[in-house]
Amino acid sequence: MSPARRPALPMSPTAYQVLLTLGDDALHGYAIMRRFEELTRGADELLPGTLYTTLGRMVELGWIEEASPRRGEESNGPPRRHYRITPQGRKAAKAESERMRRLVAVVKQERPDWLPERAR
Amino acid sequence: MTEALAVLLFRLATLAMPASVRAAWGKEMTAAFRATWRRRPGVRFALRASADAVRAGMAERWRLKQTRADWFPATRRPHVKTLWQDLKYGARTLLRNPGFTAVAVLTLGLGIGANTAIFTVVNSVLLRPLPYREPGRLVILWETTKELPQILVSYPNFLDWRGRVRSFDDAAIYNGYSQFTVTGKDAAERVRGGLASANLFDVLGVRPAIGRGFLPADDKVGAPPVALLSDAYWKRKFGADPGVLGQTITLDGTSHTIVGVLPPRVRLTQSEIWIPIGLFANTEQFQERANHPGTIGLARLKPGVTLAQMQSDLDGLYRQLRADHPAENAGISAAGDWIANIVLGRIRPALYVLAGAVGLVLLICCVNVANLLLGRAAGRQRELALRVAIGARRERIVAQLLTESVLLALVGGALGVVLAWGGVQVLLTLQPGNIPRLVEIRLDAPVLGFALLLSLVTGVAFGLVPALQSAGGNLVGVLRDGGRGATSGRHSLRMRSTLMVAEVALALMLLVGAGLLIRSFQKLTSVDLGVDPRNVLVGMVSLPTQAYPKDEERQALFTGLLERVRAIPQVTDAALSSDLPVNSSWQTGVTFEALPAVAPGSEPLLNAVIATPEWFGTLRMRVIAGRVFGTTDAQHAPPVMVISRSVAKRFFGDKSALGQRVRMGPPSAPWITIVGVVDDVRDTGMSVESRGTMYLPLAQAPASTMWLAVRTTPGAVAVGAALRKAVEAINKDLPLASLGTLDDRVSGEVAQPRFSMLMLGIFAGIALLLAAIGIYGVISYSVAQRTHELGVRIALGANRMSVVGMVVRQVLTMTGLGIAIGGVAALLAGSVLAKLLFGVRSSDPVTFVAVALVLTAVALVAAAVPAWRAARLDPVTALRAE
Repeated sequence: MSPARRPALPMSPTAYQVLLTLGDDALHGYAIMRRFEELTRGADELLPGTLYTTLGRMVELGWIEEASPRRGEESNGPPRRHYRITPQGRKAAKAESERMRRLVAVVKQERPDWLPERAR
Repeated sequence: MTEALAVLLFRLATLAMPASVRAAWGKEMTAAFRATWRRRPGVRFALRASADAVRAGMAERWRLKQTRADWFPATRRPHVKTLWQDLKYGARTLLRNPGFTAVAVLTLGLGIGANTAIFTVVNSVLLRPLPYREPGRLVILWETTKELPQILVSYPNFLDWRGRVRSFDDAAIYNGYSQFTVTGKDAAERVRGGLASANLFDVLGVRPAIGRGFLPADDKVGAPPVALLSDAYWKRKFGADPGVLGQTITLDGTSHTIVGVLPPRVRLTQSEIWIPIGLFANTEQFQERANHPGTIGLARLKPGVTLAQMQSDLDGLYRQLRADHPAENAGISAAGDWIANIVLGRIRPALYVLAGAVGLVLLICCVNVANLLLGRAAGRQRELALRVAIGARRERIVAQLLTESVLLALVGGALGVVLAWGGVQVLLTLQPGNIPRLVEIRLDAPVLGFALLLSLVTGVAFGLVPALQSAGGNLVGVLRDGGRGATSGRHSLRMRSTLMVAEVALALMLLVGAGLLIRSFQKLTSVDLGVDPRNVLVGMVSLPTQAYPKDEERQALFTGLLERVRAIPQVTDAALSSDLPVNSSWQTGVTFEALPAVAPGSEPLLNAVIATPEWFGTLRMRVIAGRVFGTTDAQHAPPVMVISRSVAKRFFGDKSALGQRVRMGPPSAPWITIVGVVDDVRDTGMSVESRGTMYLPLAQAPASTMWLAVRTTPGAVAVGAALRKAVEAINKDLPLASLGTLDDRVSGEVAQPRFSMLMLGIFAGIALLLAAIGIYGVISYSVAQRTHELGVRIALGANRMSVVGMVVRQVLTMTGLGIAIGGVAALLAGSVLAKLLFGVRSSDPVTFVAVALVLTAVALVAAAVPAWRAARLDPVTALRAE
């Protein structure tokens, strides 16, 4: 596969969510789904279809790479591939976070009246 | 939906992904889906995940195509061109056979239309989430005793829930079945009212459409009274005027300020006006912990909390509440269920049965159209053979035939959507029995998507077999044979006979279902109610305690009312009672003097009804022993009661109950002497045996809200107006609520079974008609195929009757086979219906035999014309036809 022509920013929400969820660990797909649900306290979910196609794309982009699971975390289910974030992925996540921070700053400054009261 | 089914659905959805993605991730993805399903199974999750897989798959395909486009030139275009060609060719072929096309489109339209209509209802009622915020976390709560699995919630107990149940995010309480008398605007009117704790609408996640909701400060004794209006009431009474905020409305004599209007779709109950429950916190019904006054709990669970976790929290709390208040809370616990189960639990089995029924109808439609196609294929063999001869590949021919059938199905689907739209409109105007969320039913984008998908699947389903068969076999031989293709004709006949057997089997299943529901409905409506509901008018009179604070006053007023009503010429009897047959609302624990005492909290619970002496005669109840009330049973006379037969039997067996004494409630309550026994009345619902009822005289058990029941001379509907006038004459601010015939109230109870029966009956009728058409088609085809053979037989001296006999035998064999297969299938599927049946088992032999006979008769009638044609065959013409 050819490397990406342009590291897409804004990145897809799913990709960003995967990068956030991975942190410093090596996780397989289902573990990513579960941890993401825990992190958002069940308010959001990652669905398998989008998640796995996105994982494939992220490998192509070089944001994540295959890794062996940490000792003791291998499951006895079907063999599952584990992924961890690459330096490139870290960079992309950082850039995306920065982009979002700038957006939130605009919101904080403008305080549009459609904002829910809690956020204001 | 089972796990296997959900996984299958998901795996089908992953077919939308490029093969490379499936090869790399398919197994893992399915495993992840399965694991998530096991954690939280649900149809909605399965649908969401499958839709997501399709969407992600398509997006990935699109992306790969974009990136590959540079070094792979467009090689795919010819396919599009072929499809377009096939479509044009198919459309021309169909237009050339308008008769065939019309019949096929009509059949398919009927099948797809019925499915689309039912899906519209299923989608709106069952699948779409309830109009609350995260409805999956809402539970309805009640209290329980050993005798009754569901009783209403005591207000002081509810107050103790707050902050003491870990699983609750928040809990509210409401009474949606209250009624208010609205005065000041037009004539006095009785409206359905609701009492709600201030947080009820917050817990539901509903914001008022205009104005504000209740505040904690409103929910207190002595707070300035405020009211929220339902959208319907606001539109009906205030013409949707936004200036309504701040106006006042007089409810039961008290002025309330209108602070908000609820959005249209919120119909937790049918209440039209809501006021804070806390305004009444100091009244006896809410202050006494032992009272369970019409109130239901509603809680929002914390995310991820299960019913079992909530139950164990509640059990813990109630152990404490029983210890704290041993007298009032003896035997009391609490339980709850998801709001969706409560709202939809009653309708769900009926709708699933209907969905299954229309599925069967569609299958029959498919079989019929497949039959038509097979018949037509015989005529097209020359055309197809020619195309093969000049080099067409068989796949191309199959593809082209399939394109034709899908085209046919799409046209049928379009007709189906129109039919479904009409059907849903009819359904909505009929206002069928107690379907929840009726106002939310509409034909929207998901429904259209469903119809489209169904048309495509249908097109492939009925087209595949004929297409494979037409393209298979010795097509070139057909050309040589001069197009008669004897062998393929016989093959086709076998195929068509198989389809006919399937059709008979499917029709039998539907007919059995409809037959069972009809029998069950008959049983239900012929239940002995214990009263005679004919020519009885009922209406509710409620005396506001503010206007009539003294028992004696209300007593005198009720007596006066009865006198006035009896003076109406067409009225033959009149009486008052606190409850009507078919819906009792008051249960109380009792102690029998003669029986050994039981532990507090486990006293038997019986229905209690307050009635005037004439009640028993007015409703034509049968007196079994002793007497009913008389005028001597006055306020200060020794207290008496009449019991129903089942009470007498349960507690006194063969001994006489007369003269025995009973106590209702705490030991301080007086002993009441039983003076009579009357026959049982179905007072808990048509299909439920009475738990036993005690009748108390109104003179000794004062009440402020009573049902007025009058028996009239036959056909005297106009008495209603006179009744209203009689009530108004006493006080112009007194409304007569819920005026109607007792017959209507009783049949309202069976509205839902009647609806299921009617719908299934219609579908079974359609199935029978389609099956008859199918049988006719197959038999006439087989007679036509055998013209030559029959001609030879007749020429050789065969009896014409024996020719008819041959045809009849053929019909009977196939119908019998179909009935046997369908019968077994119907037996196996019977458990689906069991929830809807009353007094009939799903294996009821009478229904099975009757349905089999009907089906056989219809099959013979359908075959009569071809049989007759065979018998009249002129051997000379038949042989010359060669």
